[in-house]
Amino acid sequence: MEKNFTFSFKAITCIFTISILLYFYINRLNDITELKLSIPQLNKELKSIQEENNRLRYEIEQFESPVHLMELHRKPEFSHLKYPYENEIIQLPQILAQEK
Amino acid sequence: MNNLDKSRLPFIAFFCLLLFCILIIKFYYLQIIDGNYWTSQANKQHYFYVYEPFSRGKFISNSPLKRGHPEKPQSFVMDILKFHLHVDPESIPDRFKEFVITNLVKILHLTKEEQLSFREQFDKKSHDRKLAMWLEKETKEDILKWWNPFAKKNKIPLNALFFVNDYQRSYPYGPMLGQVLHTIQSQKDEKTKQGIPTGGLELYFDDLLKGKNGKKRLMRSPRNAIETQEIISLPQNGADIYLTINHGLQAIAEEEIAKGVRKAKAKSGWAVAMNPKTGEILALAQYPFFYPSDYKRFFNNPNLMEHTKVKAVTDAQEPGSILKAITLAVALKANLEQKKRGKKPLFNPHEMVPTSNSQFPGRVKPLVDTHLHHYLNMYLAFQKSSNIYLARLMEKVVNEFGNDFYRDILCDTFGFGKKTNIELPGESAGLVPKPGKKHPNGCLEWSVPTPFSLAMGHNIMVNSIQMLRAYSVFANGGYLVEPTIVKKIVRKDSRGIQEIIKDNTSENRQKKFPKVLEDEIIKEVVTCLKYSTKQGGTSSRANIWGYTEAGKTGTAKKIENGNYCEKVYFSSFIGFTPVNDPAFVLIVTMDEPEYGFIPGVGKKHHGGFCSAPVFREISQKFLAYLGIPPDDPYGYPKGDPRFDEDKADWYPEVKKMRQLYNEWNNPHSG
Repeated sequence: MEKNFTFSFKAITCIFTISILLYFYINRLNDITELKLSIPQLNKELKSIQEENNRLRYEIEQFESPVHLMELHRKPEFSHLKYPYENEIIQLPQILAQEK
Repeated sequence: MNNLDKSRLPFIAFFCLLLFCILIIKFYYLQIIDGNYWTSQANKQHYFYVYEPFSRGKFISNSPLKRGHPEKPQSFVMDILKFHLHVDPESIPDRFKEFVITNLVKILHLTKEEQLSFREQFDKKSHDRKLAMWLEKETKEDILKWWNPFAKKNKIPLNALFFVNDYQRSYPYGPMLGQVLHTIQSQKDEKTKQGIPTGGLELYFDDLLKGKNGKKRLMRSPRNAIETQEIISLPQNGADIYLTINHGLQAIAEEEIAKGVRKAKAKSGWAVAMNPKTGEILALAQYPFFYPSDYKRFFNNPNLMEHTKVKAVTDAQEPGSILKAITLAVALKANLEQKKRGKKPLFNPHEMVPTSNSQFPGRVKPLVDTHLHHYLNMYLAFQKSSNIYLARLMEKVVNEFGNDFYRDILCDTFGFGKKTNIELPGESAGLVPKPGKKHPNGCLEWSVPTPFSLAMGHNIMVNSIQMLRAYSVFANGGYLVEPTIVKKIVRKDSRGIQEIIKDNTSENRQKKFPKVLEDEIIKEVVTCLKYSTKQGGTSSRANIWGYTEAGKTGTAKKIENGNYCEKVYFSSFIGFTPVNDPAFVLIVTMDEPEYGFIPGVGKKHHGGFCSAPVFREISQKFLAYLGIPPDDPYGYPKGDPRFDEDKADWYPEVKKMRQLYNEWNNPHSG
């Protein structure tokens, strides 16, 4: 009787442990599947943001077009601006600039 | 069990075995013989493939050209995502078609002409008809906002209207550098899905600009696709081409050439600037402009089509007097040759030479100068652009050294008659006549009077890039450079790893340029070129205030149907600045400027009148943009407080030359 009880206890413990492990395993698999499902959607969103970024860059480039900048330069409010001469430009080595 | 049953049993057993065998055979066929087929069928049901589009290579400006300028890459062209609208006419019931058309016409703002072909698409028996191309994201959203509820309500399949993504070549700077860049056709190749270039750099570098689509495998699922992370191939983007052209310089050149062409009422005009030390083209402007985004309008109109080519490369013309600097170099080289042989020089640059006699052997018509000069020396002759003096020099050279000596210097020293191999399609090699060779009409290419015509830039065909290369020899200390428009070509893969396909920035490239002209010859030619742009010279309108410059103007009659046209000219100016350390060599050309004479001013079609001022304007702005400080701080027009006649560069020399000219030609002028 006692022998049967020990055997039953061991079997139930085993089945219980296996069930718990199986549950966690399936749960993990579900998490992974969920992540896999979200990848194409995220990828699509990322692509869309990249494309939007590209389009905005294009619009900025259009605004900063040298032809447009030359037109702005002719306006009285910007006419005081001039290109510096080469000998007026000081270029600091990168290491020095970083130290500053 | 009776006997009958017993006798049936083996049959039943045999029959079962037979069925089992058939099953095994079927399994064998399914798994082994047709295994691959069924595996692929299963894969098709479980997986699907998605293509990842590549991006075509870009053209990037030479922004680091300017010292201290941020080195942020600036593209002349970008690929922007746009949408093509398609329809499945079979899926839309006839009773809804008119309503769908009316709504789409309203959203797309179609003209009446466009509406006709638009309607036709709905009547076609097809599952896929293209309705509109290159739609913006906003337009797509507007269509979907109306279509989705409408389709749901009327139980029309949602995908009866659908969009296809595509990248459109877009130009942030509009028509800038249009002829050089060109574009790709709006309809891509059906098979390869690659763009079809219309010309220019897009055509020349098409193989490198092309990319390859990537491929990815996804698993089918009832509601969503599952990313299996199985990448079959990564998209391979096209290579980016870093140009030698700077967008700032290009904008300046385009603005000034447009002004110049309109002022001269010319058919067209172009300006090309080159770094004389490296051969890098810094700006290549041509007016009328070519709008790459509107390429169809240009290719459908024969009058506009000629503005799609880079005339500085494709058109070889008789250069006229700008070739005189080369003539001078030939004569000086002959002098040097005489010196090497221990003989007396052919001529003395300071020697007074009579220039009123214009008869030359073999010429029916005498040569003429724009004004009659009785006596000139080399410097005065160049200042006044005398045809007769230069022809006399060539007479001496050919008599002493022969025609081949002259031709060899034109071809080998200055590279005429050979392509420069600049990276643009349709380059013309030009033409240098060859002694003994005949034209298709049977006439000799090189006859007795040819050297005299060559001396003043006729009987020779040269393109503008060749001419820039030849003048670079004077500007860079005697080296024959290789003109290029490409700094480097870089291909970046999707992981960001760079592969340099071509690199023109290495110092070794410059070391390969051969030295073709001696320093003493260069010094003399540059001296003459400096007289040309100062007071009394033919190109005084090219004088750049505050800077030293050297250059020459040229005005050549154009040839049509084998004859010189009396009133159709090709006028140009070529020069470099600052003289001691030139930042660029610049050629400005006007094709067919308006013919005429303005009393007290001069001939309107003359290079000194229509091209030289454009050279001055462009150079002045280029030098300011590049931050090059003035090297002639007193060289300003009279009346300007900065002007000092004793300190201004070349002013005293010009004064002396004027006195000498008056002494020889106007002895009574006082």
